[in-house]
Amino acid sequence: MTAQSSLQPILQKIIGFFQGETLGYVVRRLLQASLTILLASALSFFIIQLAPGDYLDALRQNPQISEETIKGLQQRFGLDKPILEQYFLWLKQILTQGDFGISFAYQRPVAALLWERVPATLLIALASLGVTWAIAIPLGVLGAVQQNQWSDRLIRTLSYIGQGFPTLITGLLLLFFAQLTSPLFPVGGMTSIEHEDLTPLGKILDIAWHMVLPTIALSITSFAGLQRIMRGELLDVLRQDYVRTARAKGLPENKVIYVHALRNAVNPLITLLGFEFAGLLGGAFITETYFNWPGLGRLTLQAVQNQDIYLLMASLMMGAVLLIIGNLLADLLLTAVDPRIKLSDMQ
Amino acid sequence: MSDTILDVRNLQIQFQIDDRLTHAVNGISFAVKRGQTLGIVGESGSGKSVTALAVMGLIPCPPGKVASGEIWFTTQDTAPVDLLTATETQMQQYRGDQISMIFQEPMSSLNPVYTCGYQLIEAIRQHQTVPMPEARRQAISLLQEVKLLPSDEQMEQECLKDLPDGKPSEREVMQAVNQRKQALLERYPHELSGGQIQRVMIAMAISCNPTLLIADEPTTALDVTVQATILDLLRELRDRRGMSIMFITHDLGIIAEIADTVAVMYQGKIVESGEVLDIFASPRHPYTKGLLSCRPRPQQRMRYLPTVSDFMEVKTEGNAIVIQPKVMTTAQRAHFTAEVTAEEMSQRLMTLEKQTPLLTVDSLQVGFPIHGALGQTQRYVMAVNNVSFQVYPGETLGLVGESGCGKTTLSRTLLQLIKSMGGKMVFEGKDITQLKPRDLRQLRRDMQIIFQDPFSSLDPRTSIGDAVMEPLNIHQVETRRDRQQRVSYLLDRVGIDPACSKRYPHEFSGGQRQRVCIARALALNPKFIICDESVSALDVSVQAQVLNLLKELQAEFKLTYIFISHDLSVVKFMSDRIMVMNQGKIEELGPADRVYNQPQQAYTRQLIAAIPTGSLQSIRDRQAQRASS
Repeated sequence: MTAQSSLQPILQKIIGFFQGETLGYVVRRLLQASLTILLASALSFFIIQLAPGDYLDALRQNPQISEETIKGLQQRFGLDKPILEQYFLWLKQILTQGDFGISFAYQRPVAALLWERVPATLLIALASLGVTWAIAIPLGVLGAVQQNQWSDRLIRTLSYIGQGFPTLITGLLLLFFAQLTSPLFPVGGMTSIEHEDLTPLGKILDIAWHMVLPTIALSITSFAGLQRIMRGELLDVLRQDYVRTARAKGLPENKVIYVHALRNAVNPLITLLGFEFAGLLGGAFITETYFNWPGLGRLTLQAVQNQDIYLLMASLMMGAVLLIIGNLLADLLLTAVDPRIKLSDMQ
Repeated sequence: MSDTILDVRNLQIQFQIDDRLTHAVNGISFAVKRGQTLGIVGESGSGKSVTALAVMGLIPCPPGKVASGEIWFTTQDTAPVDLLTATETQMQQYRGDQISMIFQEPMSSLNPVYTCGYQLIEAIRQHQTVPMPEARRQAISLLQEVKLLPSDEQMEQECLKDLPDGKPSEREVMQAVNQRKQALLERYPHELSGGQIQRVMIAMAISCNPTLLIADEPTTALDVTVQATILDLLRELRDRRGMSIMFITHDLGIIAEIADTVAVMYQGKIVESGEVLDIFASPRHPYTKGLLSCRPRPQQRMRYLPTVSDFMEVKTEGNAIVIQPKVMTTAQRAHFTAEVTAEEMSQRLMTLEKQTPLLTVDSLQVGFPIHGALGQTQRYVMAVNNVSFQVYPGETLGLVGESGCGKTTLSRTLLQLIKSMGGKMVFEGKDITQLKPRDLRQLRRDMQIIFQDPFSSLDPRTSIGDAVMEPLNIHQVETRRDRQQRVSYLLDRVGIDPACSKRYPHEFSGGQRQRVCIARALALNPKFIICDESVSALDVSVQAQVLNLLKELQAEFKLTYIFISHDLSVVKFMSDRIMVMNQGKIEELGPADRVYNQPQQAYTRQLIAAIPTGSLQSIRDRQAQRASS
């Protein structure tokens, strides 16, 4: 009897979820998404084909490789078939066997190749995302609250400078810095030579030590934009009537800002977070190249240069899927933080 | 002295914007007595809201600054304190506790992401150390006091009726009542109407039993009937709790409903103050006289609405502004008081109705779809439901109703800005219900609209000359030179110097912008103009000028108007016939005088009863009633 009564509310909740509009909305969005991904895959596939030549052209230059070998490779990779057929073969393999094909350059399945690189990229992306938000949001709030005072001016100048520096330059400067202060920071790589011999804690610290400079390089540029968005949004909200109401209630200023204003200023940030989610696995090839970081960005860039189609396609699709999931999550999160937004209005 | 709770002396407030220093409030002094209401009246920019914010210590600084003065505040048991010398922490303790405030725009004055209950309880717990359940109980009883919730007994009664099985137990009834209370606390501001939110705001303001309540235009954004109930509520609370109110408004009609003493503000100064009856019976300052006579009174039918500038001249002598009364000749005075006789009215109506109608609307239906979970249309909300009427050439058909009654939807459907779902519209003998784009463009030459908000209906990046020119360009009327001449003529006609045609909207006041909108609507020589709340956003004195202009233009260009407003007295002044709308349907349609004097429907009677008339008799009645209770 008691077990039944305690189970009932949970059961009701589950049933409620499946009947509720949230599930319906998610299902509808996912259906739309699969169509989007299909179209995106076709478009990318054909755009890649627009570039002259293919992967084998480089091998053809090599006199040591015989005509037969090339022919054999051509057949193996399916490059002798018409483009349309190639595309559908690729699609069929994914849908029926979950097989994303083989990388020409590495001679290994694409999925395994990407999977190897994911942790490194994810690690540095999350770290820079965390650092950026942890610094930009408070400084944005500070800038809005102390608008036009010296602190705001200072932060604004810093963020202008940050925005003015492309990663290309900041990366170089940081490398220069690492060289000057050596051995304070490692100049590149993800692990030290003696990494394998370290204790588990030592391993973690070793990787963290290697992460410092690439993380800074990635954070500086995105920090500037985010800080300015936060500042602008909060300034907008601080002008609203309900902030005046909160003050008229006699609330102290910090409650006015942190309880009443900030909750209203986060909406655009959530949307932004959805886009950032898509970028998590995009990799940052400049930073990765500079700091010799074994991430996806470098892999993808190489794939483009080599016309390693299936590798390239797989990483493009990964980006598309993440973008769609990121947007969906952002929309769901928006309805959770803002009671005025209804799922049925977001179509 | 002990009877005075607020004593403002020689208050000066300045605003430094760019390099210009403006004196928003220029040396005013006034006092508020315990349990009394001080009404502060003035047009926008007269400094009345700034004064209120100064008392709260909420002047935005920078750019604002209290330059000099004293604000002495006394509660029941403390010595007077000068609020201007109080620290920010001290002020926080006064705000929301001893002095609280309600604002003009209810829809934006509650935080949209928190529930009403949260915001109300927050106010209670800010100034009283009470545990959560007690704060919740207080919140409920406050909501009952502002009549958002019925009393406990009444709710029990209602629940007894609603619960299905014959005899529910006491516990079930309690549960149902508690559910209802909880449901209200958990509502978000966007789930409530303007009037309801204003009640939540009032509940919040009185939560700590303040000595002084500052109400800054609390009813301006509300419908007349809702306004009447809010004013009732404020009066009741004031008398029950012995609290004082500082009531700020631009409308003398409302002052007459609530104030004991009045201060009239003009350009940062108090030009006249006194007992409410004295001010209304024998105003001395020309500005007060102007304000009193520029508000249309529904019981009279004036030929011309006097404006403030008919009563006074403002001259600048050096730095000082000098206001001088205008000397009126007998002929002028006769002009200002001339009324249209009933006979004249019926004569005019007869000739109008003999013509073939310009516009015939036959059982028009307009609805908005409600979408289901999968995006399919589930049903329609009918905004306009089976509406039929006719408009004759040269007449003004007034359309009154409360917000949400469908009047704006109707006007937009007539202009084909919204598609209709059923019914027929015939304009000049042509069916305009389904028009091809080309015919529609032709139709729009003849049909124009003037919107409510002059601030958002002009493109801020288009000069006013170009704004008026645009319809001429679109319809390729005449040569460029002729168009320019026409623009000059139109601007001049609506009372704007054509030399200003290169200027941008932000350089003009609300009334001037509305004049530009009128000129733009007139550009193509339309036959038919819809005025959708065209004067609602304007100050009463400016409103009178625009109303006079609209009437003049009608006579000059043989225009036909549909004049939409929530304000029956304005509609009565403008219209030949009045149509009352409620919930998408026509409640009543008839000659203006008949609808006002012998309303057939209960709803119309209710609307009429809610108009603040500002008559001496109503003030006397109210005072007598208060004295006796």
